[in-house]
Amino acid sequence: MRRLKIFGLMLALVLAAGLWAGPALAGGVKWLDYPAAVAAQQKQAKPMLVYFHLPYCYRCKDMKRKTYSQPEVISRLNTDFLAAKVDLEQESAVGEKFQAEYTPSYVFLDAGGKEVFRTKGVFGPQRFLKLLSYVSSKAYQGKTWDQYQQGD
Amino acid sequence: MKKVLGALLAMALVMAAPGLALATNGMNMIGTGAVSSGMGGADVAVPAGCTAIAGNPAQLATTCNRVVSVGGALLNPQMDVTMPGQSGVDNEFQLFPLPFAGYAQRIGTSRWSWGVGIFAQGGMGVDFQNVKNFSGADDSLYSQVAFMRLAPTVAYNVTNHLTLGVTAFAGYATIDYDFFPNGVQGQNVTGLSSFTIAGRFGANYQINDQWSVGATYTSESSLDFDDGEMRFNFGPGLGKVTYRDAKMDNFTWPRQVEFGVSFRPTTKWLLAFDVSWVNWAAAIQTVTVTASNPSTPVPAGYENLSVPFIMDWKDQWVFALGAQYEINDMWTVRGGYNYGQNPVPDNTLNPLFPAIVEHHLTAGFTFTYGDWDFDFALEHAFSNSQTNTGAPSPTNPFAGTEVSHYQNTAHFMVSWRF
Repeated sequence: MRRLKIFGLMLALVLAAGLWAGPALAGGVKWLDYPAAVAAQQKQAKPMLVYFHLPYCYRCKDMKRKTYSQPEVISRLNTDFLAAKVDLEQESAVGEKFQAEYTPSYVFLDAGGKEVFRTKGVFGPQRFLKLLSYVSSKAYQGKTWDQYQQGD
Repeated sequence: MKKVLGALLAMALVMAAPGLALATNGMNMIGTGAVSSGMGGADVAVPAGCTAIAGNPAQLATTCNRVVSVGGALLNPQMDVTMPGQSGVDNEFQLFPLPFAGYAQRIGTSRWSWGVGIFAQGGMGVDFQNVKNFSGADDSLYSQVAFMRLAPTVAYNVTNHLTLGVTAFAGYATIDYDFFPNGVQGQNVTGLSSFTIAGRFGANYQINDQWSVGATYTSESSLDFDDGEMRFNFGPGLGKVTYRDAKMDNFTWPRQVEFGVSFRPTTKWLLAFDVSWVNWAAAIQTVTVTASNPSTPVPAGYENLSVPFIMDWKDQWVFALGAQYEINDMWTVRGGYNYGQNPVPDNTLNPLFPAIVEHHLTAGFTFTYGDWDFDFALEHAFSNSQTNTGAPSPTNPFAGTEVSHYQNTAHFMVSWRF
């Protein structure tokens, strides 16, 4: 009985912790579908992030939870990029166009619609912001992503 | 097909040489893989890679691409047996390797995932040398129960929130034991083995970005051990006689029901809590070893031997609580606590099968480098002591015997996503 009480207390602590809801979402990333992002790029000279995901993939959920929820990431994406989100199950044609099958993966296009960089995997907020800077500053023209991360 | 599966599992058992035996939650490990074990085994509602094959198969549906994992554990049990009127005897040093290997992938970009893995489900064993037998002579108590499973698994995303999975377990188990082989009526049994099948169904429902709940049901695995050999000691005169056909009946791996909940209070924290019910009461009652076909003539009435082990284990409740914190992109740390009620009744305690530890504390971490994960966890099962309080009888030879048991386990795993 005493043990059950201890576990009851632990469970209550877990539930109470639910009141701690984490950072505010600040409206979230303004995701577009790929055709809408292409159309928007005709009017706005911005680089584009094409984000390939599957709704079930837990690493895609990690990106949503850890990175796309962060105000600084949201602000940076919404201000400096056009963000296209492609569900590879529903939009397989876009996946085939970019030869993308890995999730989560990222293809960056410059303001003219030309692919300039692609990568994959889960990025925490700071590393993802660095990735956005790598593309927006056009550092890819002179450095590899690894060199850029190391500050060379 | 049965022979091929048996050969694969037997090969895995050989890989686990010199032996494979443990006792954590009864005879089950508290978790499979360093991630689950690092969280005290609380994994039913937690996304997993290949280890979902040995946990909640529905979690395999969270696979993103392809992942292969290889690892295992090294378990060091520490036991002590004290028979009435004798001093305590420590277990011989043992270090058991418990392998795991798995592969999982999403089928294209569909809602289906599949995987296959091979892993140590559990077991138990002791090695007491120089313990006095019932005649007061130096003798030994030794046992080794090992159970490996090969587990093809499929999982399906019914909706963005609900996932289901099913695993078919092909199991292979072995048992050897020495029961005071130097004393009159002592036995040395080797080579008992059994092939068995079972299944596990799992479900997971992600309520929202913070909460998930999951559940599993595992059917029992009936084990009919045969192909063994028994050396039975008739004492002075006839000595030890080998019986070429030894079998063991009524030894079953139990069915199990698990329920789990996971919760993310912040983006970096993950908390998980599992409750499991293990039906040992239906699985381990009176285990009977029979032997026939003696290699030399034996006294009338001894052509066929029957040795009952009255065990009458109790059902077991297991509670697991785990926490995980992501320090940064590369480092994740974990801690956990696991409590599994001792399923062994006081009046049938047998030092050959001392699955009595209850409290476990665990800690671990993952180091992520690109597409690679390196997982590590340590598990400590705190010492538990138990005394056989039953009345002395031919079927309860260990009345008054006390057994103490604790153990340390190191888990490690390497995973590659591609």
